[in-house]
Amino acid sequence: MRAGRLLLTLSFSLLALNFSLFTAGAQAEEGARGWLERMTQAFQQQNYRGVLIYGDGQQWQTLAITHGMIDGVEQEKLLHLTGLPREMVRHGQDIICIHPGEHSPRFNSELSNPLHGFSRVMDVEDQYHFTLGGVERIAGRFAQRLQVTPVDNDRYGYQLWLDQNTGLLLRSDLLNNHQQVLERFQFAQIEIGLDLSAAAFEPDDQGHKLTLYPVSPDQQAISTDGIGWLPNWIPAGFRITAVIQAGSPRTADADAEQRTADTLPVRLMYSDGLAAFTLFIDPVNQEQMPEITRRWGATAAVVRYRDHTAGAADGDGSSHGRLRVTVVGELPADTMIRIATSIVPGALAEHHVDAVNSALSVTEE
Amino acid sequence: MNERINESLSALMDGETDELEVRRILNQLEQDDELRGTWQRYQMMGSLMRGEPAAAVDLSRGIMQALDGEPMDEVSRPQPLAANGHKLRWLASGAVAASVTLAVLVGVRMNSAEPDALVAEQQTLQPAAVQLASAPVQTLSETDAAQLEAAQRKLQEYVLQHTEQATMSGSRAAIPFARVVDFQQPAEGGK
Repeated sequence: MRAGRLLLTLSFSLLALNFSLFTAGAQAEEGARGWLERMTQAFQQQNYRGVLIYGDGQQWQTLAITHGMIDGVEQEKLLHLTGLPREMVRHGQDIICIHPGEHSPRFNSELSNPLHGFSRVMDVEDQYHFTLGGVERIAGRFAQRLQVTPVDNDRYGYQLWLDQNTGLLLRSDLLNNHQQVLERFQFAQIEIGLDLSAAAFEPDDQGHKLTLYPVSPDQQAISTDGIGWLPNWIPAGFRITAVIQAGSPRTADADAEQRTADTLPVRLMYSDGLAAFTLFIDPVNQEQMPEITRRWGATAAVVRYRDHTAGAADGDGSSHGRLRVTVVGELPADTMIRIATSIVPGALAEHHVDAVNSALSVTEE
Repeated sequence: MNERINESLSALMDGETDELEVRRILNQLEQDDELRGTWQRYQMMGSLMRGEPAAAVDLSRGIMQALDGEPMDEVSRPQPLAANGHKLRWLASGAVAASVTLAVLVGVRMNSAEPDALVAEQQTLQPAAVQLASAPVQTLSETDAAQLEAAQRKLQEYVLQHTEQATMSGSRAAIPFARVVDFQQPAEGGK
């Protein structure tokens, strides 16, 4: 009986193998794309409830998550099961945080200008290869493995495990160039497609409310015109997704604008569709801090200083300035250091013309 | 027969099995649904007895990897398929994004003044200065220490801003939604 069943399974597999050999190349690529699209949809639209583990191999956190759509509004509840009790409930754009103590410095920050984001459709295929792997079990479910391999050493790769039935991301490994896992997130247990009522998303306690910053629609104009400082080198495939210069450099007098622009803090965000980094350029005066390179799991930060002569463009070389350049992102440190040390006055940056043109191509007036 | 397998499973859970036996059991597990069910129940019971939350985690793959001497944190790099002209357009829709924000905010909170419960943990950390600097810092004046702390706080704020922004612009749809939840660690160390 058992032998018979096994044989039957085997012949089916051989049949499937024969069939798939014909179309292997096209199907695998097509298949990977299909899986990615399913994953994106599943995350927004599916109802699910589960326990997930997140960490970098040294520290692990356990969280309980409930997600669903109620009356067309995305609802989510996230609860820390390890460490101090922390809870987060999201109704659409509103977030309620419940935890001991004050809220973050992020929201009481003197840096009151949040970066304004733009969602963009990216071509990721030039920077990553997608390969369908085998089927494995994650959280008691069958999951399709998808390998995302970068084409160069300036970004990381991923292994993704997607639920066979729904496409939901059940596990993600972020891999460095030595194939070591820098960050892993994995459901230990999950129920998908269950009925959830509004009660499932009620906060367990009183918390304070935050509203998320709205994201501008795709193809919104992004311009680096008038930005005082820009990187002269960024890795291939990265495009600017957000730009802000604190204060207003827009003055009537062009010379005054030039002088103002290079003394204002600049924030620039770039993405290649999967990875992202943010560049913070701050004029500083006497700061004498060590240059820093740090990593927390997938995210790293690099701080570099650069001395410059302010107003050099006007031929006024009398005033010397100092910049603190901070790069934060999910990129190899070497790549981030290269970006940080490439900062030049905006007008001299080579690549920014290209980046601006592509960003403006649709909406240019 | 079944009885013997059950005994073996039990021994496996208790770590009283030799390698050959373990391999045999795991192979059986691959092929037998009922046996796999039993195995999972055993694992769950084991977890409960150890006072751990019982989650349906399958340990068999990990055990097999360990037996094969395959490091669990490394995977082989497959040969990527040649691009076949199809453009894979990644719709940066921010699907995972919103979820990430939640986790980020949870992490952010940990930066504020925290209860003494964490003091014991902090003491095991390296001094903030050594952690922070890429070059060794020998002695610090009070001003320097304050500056260093300010710099560290600034850096944390930037990291959080980056993560939040990356999340909101939906540019990294593939990232796990729990990123930066463990960011409190350097914050605590910096106190």
